[in-house]
Amino acid sequence: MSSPALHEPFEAIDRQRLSAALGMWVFLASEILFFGSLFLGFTVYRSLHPQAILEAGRETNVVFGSVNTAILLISSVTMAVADKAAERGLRRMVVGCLAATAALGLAFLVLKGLEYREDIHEHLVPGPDFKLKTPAAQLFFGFYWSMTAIHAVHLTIGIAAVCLFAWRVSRRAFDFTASAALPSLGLYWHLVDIIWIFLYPLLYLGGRAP
Amino acid sequence: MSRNARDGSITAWHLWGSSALVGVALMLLLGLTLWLAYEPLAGWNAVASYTIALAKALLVVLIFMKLARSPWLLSLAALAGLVWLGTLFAITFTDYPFRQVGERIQTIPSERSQGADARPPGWTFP
Repeated sequence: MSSPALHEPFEAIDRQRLSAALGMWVFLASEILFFGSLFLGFTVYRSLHPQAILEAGRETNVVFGSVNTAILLISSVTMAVADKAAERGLRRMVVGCLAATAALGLAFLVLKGLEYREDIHEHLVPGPDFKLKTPAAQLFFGFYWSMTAIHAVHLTIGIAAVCLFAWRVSRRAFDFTASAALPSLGLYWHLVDIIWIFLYPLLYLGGRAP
Repeated sequence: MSRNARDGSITAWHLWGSSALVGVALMLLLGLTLWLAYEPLAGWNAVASYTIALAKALLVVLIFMKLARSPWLLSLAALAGLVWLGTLFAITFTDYPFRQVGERIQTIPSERSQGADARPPGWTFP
């Protein structure tokens, strides 16, 4: 039986869903390499200037970082439940979980904005007024600003996509049960979460131990 | 609404159960990594942090991203990214640490002018 979600050139919805998942995983693999190069750059400089990097790491706000980590982890739970609900055709549950996911994503961005404001106030932006005297400490904050900003851009795209899908599902605009769109969006969201899972120890936990 | 939903056979547990359990495990790991970050572990804090991060990522990948019950084709695509990332790290770290003194890079241009060691910094691994 043909589904409205089935599109050319596919002849079966299962094949279409598998192809969409494969395409998304290939894209995510390229994202892993994209962020991986930043992690690699950070690791190189951490090896070159271990003490300065650890000293700089103590300047980040671990409360903001930890709360934001918890928020993103919970958003992954709501996204996973949205995906399960979609498989079972539970429209209201899908919309509710997607709305919760987007709200948690927005909460993350708001907290990140507050953290950025505090960082700027404390002169933690690399430049002539930088707070720390050790020159290599600026390298840490160069990565801090770059990596968190790029992550925030990814999250913003995710939030926009989640809102769009929630709206379309609520309007009965497409066959969300058979469509490959929601599982693909879930994969993207979870990857953004995973990137943060590794950014958290990299930027917030280094140098805390006595 | 689907047939299953009409039959009332879908309970909250079916929808939320396993995902909530994974969520609780992720929160516990977050608490553990935060606690260990402040404990004196004789230089093993980073190892502990990244091991726990890896455990959290595996939970998300295998359960939330459903890789544990997906066809091998998808695992292959995911592994391809990791293999190339590993290659990137491996090639880089078989180059820089083994450079001779004259070949070492200087990452901070102002170091010489500030009277620091005339030679660029050597490599010290964390």
